Amino acid sequence: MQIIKLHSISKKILVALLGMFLCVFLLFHAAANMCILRHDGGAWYNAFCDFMGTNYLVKFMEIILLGTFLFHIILTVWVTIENKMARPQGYHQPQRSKTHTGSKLQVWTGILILVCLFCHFMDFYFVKLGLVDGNLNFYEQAHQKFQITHIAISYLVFFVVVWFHIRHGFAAMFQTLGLYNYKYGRALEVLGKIYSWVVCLMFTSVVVGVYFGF
Amino acid sequence: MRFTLHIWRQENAHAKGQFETYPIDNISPDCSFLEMLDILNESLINDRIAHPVCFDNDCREGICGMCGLYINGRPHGNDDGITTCQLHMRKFNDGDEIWIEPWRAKAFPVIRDLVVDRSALDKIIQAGGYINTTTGGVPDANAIPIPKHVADMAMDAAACIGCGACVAACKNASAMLFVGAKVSHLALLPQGEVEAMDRVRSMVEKMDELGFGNCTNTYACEAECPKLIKRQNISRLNRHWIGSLLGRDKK
Repeated sequence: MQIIKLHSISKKILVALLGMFLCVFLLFHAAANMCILRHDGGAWYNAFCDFMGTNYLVKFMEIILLGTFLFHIILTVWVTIENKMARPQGYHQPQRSKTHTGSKLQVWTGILILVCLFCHFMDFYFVKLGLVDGNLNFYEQAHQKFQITHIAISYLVFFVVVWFHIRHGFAAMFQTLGLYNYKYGRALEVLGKIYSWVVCLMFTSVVVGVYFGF
Repeated sequence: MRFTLHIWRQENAHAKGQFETYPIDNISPDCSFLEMLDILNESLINDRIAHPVCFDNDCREGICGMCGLYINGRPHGNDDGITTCQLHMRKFNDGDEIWIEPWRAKAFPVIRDLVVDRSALDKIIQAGGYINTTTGGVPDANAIPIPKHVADMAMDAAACIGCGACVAACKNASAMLFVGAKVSHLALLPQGEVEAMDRVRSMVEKMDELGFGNCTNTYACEAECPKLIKRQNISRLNRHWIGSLLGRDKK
């Protein structure tokens, strides 16, 4: 008996809508992180962190965001299991069709993002929640963390994985929502490329900037 | 030309299949892939080596959608915009090893060797891929004006021959390109537009019921479609699905 009945397209639409919300958040997060590069002793960044930590609307949105993450993951796992069941016996020969590499790696990049996100939470978010010991001055915390070579490299790898995930996910989102057509399809693909590069370069510039002391 | 063929052999739907290897020689480069299999079958019968290899085929000119083999990792073989019957041996190199498999999907069970049951696609059509109207005489062609680009899009979608290569190519065995094409070619035209919302619901529900996978936008279906059906048809299917969820006003 099926407890929740969601048709295949409905599941994909939900994944796309949740992904869209996460894309908006990612841009917001990247823009906020750019404050770390200001040489103001963390005045702007810490003020921003204080606002994020005390505002009730932000706290409410935080719950929505975590729910979005969770629901995005649950639906994707559900879809992946159904997809595996749709072909019980695979092919002997590896697929040689001309497809986007990113699309084939989407599930794997998603899992990698989840692992990296946990490490990221250990550095920052769980510190804020008091679950892990750490410096609550996040400007200083970011400087301490990003000046350690292996942590800086780990974050850069994380951003490459995020780039792969949203590089495909952004255009796929519009396809799933039925907005990819003959007229705007190409433009949406270009927008996806711009978005993925801009967001990932913003994140990267913070880590590289702190590491080299710019 | 000389080839080593590795062909999936399976006695029936319930038997356990396996690959058998058959060397074949003296094949003309201008020979079609199915003609090459005919030559192999003749030798298998004449030399009493094994039962002939079963494979689907009919028109052998790329319009019926009956043939469909997974050849060296690609549905319909190593060329674009063709069916298996349009594939020629000149596309291979002399001495190549060729792996031939049936379409693989839960919804396409193997009947024997390389023949699969693709009636799942027919069931999707039966669920809603038609116009439910009683027709009178044929109206004048100019009585129902249709913009040229709309007629072109409908015609492009209608080119789908239902071979199932989209399902075979998709890593999720999804039939979204097939359903998208069938929904599009009817919904784009005035006669089919009337029932578009009901049609998309019926066909997608049937598609899910038959065990096809979900689309994850890899577009292998578009890359392997012998009729070059575009992914925009999947997007239109999604759009109509959303429309059917939000805009269907029924008692």
